Amino acid sequence: MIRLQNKSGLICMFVCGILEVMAIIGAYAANYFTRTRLGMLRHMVYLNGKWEKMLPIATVKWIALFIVFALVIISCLQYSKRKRRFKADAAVTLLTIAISGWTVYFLLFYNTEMNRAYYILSLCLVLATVLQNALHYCFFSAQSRN
Amino acid sequence: MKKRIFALLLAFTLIVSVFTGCKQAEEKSEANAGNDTKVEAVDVKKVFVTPEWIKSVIDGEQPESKKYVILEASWGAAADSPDYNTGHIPGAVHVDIASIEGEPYWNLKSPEEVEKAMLEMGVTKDTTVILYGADVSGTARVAYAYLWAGVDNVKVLDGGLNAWTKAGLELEKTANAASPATEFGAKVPVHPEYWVSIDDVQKKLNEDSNFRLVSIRSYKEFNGETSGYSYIDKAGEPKGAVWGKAGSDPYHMEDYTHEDGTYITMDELKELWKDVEFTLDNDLAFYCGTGWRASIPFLIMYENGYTNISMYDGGWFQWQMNNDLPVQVGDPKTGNVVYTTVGELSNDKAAK
Repeated sequence: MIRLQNKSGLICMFVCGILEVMAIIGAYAANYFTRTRLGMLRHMVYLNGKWEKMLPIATVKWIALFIVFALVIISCLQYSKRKRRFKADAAVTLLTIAISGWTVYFLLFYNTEMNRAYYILSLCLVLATVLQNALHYCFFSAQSRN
Repeated sequence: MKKRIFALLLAFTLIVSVFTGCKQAEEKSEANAGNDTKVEAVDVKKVFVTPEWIKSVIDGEQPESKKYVILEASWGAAADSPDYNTGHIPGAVHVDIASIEGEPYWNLKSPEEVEKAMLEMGVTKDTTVILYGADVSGTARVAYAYLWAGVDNVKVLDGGLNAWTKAGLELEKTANAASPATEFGAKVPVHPEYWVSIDDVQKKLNEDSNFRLVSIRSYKEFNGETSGYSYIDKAGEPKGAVWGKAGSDPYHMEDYTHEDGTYITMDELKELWKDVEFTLDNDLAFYCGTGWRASIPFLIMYENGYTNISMYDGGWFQWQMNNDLPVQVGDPKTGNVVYTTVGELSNDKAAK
């Protein structure tokens, strides 16, 4: 039974990892094509305007920041509560903190004036952060059953 | 006997070789004569030029050779321009189309910004600017902007880089940097009359019976089936607009270009417009989605000496942003048209 749970933890880690990489590739592609394709830039400007009308962007931004902070704190707590720490634990936790920090920095210090793909990039980065934290959780959960 | 046969053969061979040699020499001299043929000078107002003329400018054989720049026009930075990096006309510098237009309406930038952008490219009032690019509309857009700003002599390579390579002329791959200028030599814009605002258009549509607002858009855009763009939700045209034809979609200009990418001539333009709702005597303001396609008929008429032409730069993009403006959906020529306002239009007409 325990082995089965470990397996599902591994599968969850794998899926989270794949999705996270896809989110980062999506962010890179959005940034690249907004910079190099006129049609994409204009579409981004159009989407920005549309979303600003539809959504309370400032509120959404602070909610996203709160979620990222909460997740990274949970991940850190999970690491600090671990009695036996391996190098891999520290590496995964550091990666989680780095990705979360990168997302927080981007959300706080960029805007649509600096980067027309800001909203799409923010969405991709928050998604990547959530997935990284999920991966972190799966990694620690899988280990705790050993 | 054998000696006689041998002598005859030798004599025959000599005669044949002498004649063949002479013929080749004649052919060579004819070919050289072709290369030496001087390319004729063109008028300052002539916009569309041949690769041979540009080569003669580079070779110092034209009056324009004294002060000219060759610009490859495409949107984005030089490093991101495949058309520039895979091989360009010797000496050409990349010019970003975004240097002359921008948000919020994708109209021409302010005169100060356009002037600054031109100076950075080394363009002054008396510099001959030779433009080419993969996009016929984008290239025309930059040419129009420079004419509006006040550059006296603006040329566009007819047929683009394909025409250049087809003519057997060489390309280079080394990126060239522009030599910035410090003074433009006039107050920009020298020709403000080439540009009409959305307010001017509304006023003229109401008050000037000779004014025609000419839509250079695909028929599907003109009759309101689609906006043509992923970033425009509403479809239709300003009330009173007439159709000047264009192409199959916003990114193709089949009506104004030949299959080899060359632009149509004035005679072909007259043929194209033989069944339209305006004449060459009207006061014509061209527009499209955001001002690229409309630059082509402007340039064709400009080089043929017409002065009754201008551009409504904002196009359908700017028009559909004001809910109160009057709109037509459908083709008035067929009678199948609905007159309404922007605010009443549906928001589901963006191009998929």
